[in-house]
Amino acid sequence: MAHDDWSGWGELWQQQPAPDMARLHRLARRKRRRMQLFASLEMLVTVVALWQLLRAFGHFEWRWKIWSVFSLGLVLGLQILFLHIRLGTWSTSGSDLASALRLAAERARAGVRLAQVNIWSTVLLLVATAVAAAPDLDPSRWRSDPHLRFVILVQIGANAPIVGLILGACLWYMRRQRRRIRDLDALMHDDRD
Amino acid sequence: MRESEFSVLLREHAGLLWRIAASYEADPALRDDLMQDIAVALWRALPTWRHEAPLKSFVARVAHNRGASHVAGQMRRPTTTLLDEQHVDLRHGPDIHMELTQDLQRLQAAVRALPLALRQAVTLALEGFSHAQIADTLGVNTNSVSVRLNRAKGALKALLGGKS
Repeated sequence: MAHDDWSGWGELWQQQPAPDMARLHRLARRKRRRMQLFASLEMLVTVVALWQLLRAFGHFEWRWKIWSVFSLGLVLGLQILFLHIRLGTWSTSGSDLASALRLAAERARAGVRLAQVNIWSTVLLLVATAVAAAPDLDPSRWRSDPHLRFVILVQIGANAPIVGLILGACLWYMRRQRRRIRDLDALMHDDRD
Repeated sequence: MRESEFSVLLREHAGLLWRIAASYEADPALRDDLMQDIAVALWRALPTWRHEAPLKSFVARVAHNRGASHVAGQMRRPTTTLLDEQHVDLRHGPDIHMELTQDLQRLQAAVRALPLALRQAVTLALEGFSHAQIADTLGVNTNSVSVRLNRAKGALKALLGGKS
């Protein structure tokens, strides 16, 4: 390379192609539409689940009524806890690199805490469900009742993969965020040198 | 700031932002994402601009901060050094164009290989910022900028090796 000083390198550096802003706008619009679609889907699923729960509430046995109230309380409590964990991570960073890296690390740590809360709440819900379903899970009941056996099998078959997926995704996400925290710590260390 | 004013600002600084993004991300698709993240960070940060520093410095600072947090988490991903050849200035002939593309790729790769603190100072120096402007943008003193640029110059010469 013939450019061995700052002006030569600078001249070469500034010959880099200009971005296609129209294409970037298109990409951003596409991403926004996708996010809006996911947010709408999430809301729709929540509304349908709540509607079904309220509709069936009157026909529930007392233990499933207690379970429903507990689950709703858990979901509401989780939303408050998520908000609390995210507090402070929405702000913009200060003007220097160190504060930008600190904020990124804080967001990653909040992500780890959110994933941990998700794991424990899933376990809690599983335990609560097992306690509520305990009488039905007695072998003497489901062996003699084909309908109950079918319901239990369907519930386990449908929910076990979902629970497995949630736990797997949380563990993967935590690992990724912890790695990010280590990388950010290394960058902060570099910046201090 | 209104959206239309922001679009104008973004267009005016697009080249600078794109080159800063390129100093953090070699993969074209991820660079697009980074560019969008930088635009969002800029939109959020602009209300905090108090005119104490030139707008160009402020824009570069926000882009560098966002780029630095992008680097974390991408560090173990193998980097590629693709340059969108079709976008390189084609005013030169094909041979010169080829050589220019190769030189640019080598320079980009060398800059990306620098430690973060040096890379930030170098990209600003390559953009024509003075030592004082670099110091102001990075929030360090001018002595520190001189030290970083000296170390970076040595490292760049070593990285660009045989052809320098």
